[in-house]
Amino acid sequence: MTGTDHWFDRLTYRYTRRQALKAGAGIVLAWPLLKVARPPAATAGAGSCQKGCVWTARARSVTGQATCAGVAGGASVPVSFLSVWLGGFPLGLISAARERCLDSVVLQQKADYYDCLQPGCSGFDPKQAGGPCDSCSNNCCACSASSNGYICCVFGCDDTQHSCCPGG
Amino acid sequence: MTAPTKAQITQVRRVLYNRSSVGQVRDALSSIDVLLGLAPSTPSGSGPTWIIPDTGQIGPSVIEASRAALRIASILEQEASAIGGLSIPAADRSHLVRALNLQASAWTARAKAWVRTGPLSAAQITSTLKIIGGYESAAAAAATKVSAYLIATGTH
Repeated sequence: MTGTDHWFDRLTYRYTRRQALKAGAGIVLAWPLLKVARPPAATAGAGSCQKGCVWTARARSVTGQATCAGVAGGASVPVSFLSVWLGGFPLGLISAARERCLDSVVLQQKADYYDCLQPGCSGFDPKQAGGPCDSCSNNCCACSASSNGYICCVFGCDDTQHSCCPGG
Repeated sequence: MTAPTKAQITQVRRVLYNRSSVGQVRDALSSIDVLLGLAPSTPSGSGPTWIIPDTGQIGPSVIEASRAALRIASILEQEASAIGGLSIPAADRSHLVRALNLQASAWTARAKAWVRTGPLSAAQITSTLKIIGGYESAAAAAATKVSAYLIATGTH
């Protein structure tokens, strides 16, 4: 093969069985590397629901913290690692149930967060219980200016004349 | 088994309730609460960036929380090491060292779980909770055997 060969011309070359096997083995070995690890939901447009989904996941965590306070009795003040752990440091009596509950809240938030970054936010619905549009009886419109990514609006979300979202 | 002497209890407490260690653990716990959005002062809807969307990497606040958890583990290991060198009944020493090391393992497991990349299934959450809970329960069981050395604290 000369340096001036076009790649198309190379297709017409005759390859030996050894060359074909080597090429095949190379593809098999390199396949995992060819599947480039992409960050979750990094594709354009997939982020429209992320804000609301993450907001909902965090709100669920706060509810979870409050629930943990009720585990094994106690005040309804949301628990944290400091409140659960420090009083018993290092080997004092720590409520195992509360500790487990808090660990669970943290890991669940981490899992939810990952789901939120997937394409389509893993089926997140802003109208779901605890979601940004939970109590919205009008139109639930995407709104980047809103802290939770959505706004409840009397106008249609596709109304070009009116908008509830600051900045459009 | 004979009860520990006052001097032996004092030796142990000097290690366990060392003002510096307690202060460092308080700081680390407080940092974890803030970094993971668990502190009461956390504004509604805010919290850690578990994963940076553009890169898929773990967020800096979560990494920092993980480091704080590892600091707690390190303090507990240091205390275990210090207790290991005390002249107290061997069985008591063994239980104390074991309890502290097990608690250190629980914090290390938390630290690792927080910065683990990739999806976290319900089964993985259950499995991680089982590991952390296992260490904590075993630590509590060991600590119960040496309660004479410990300052009674509330269960919150």
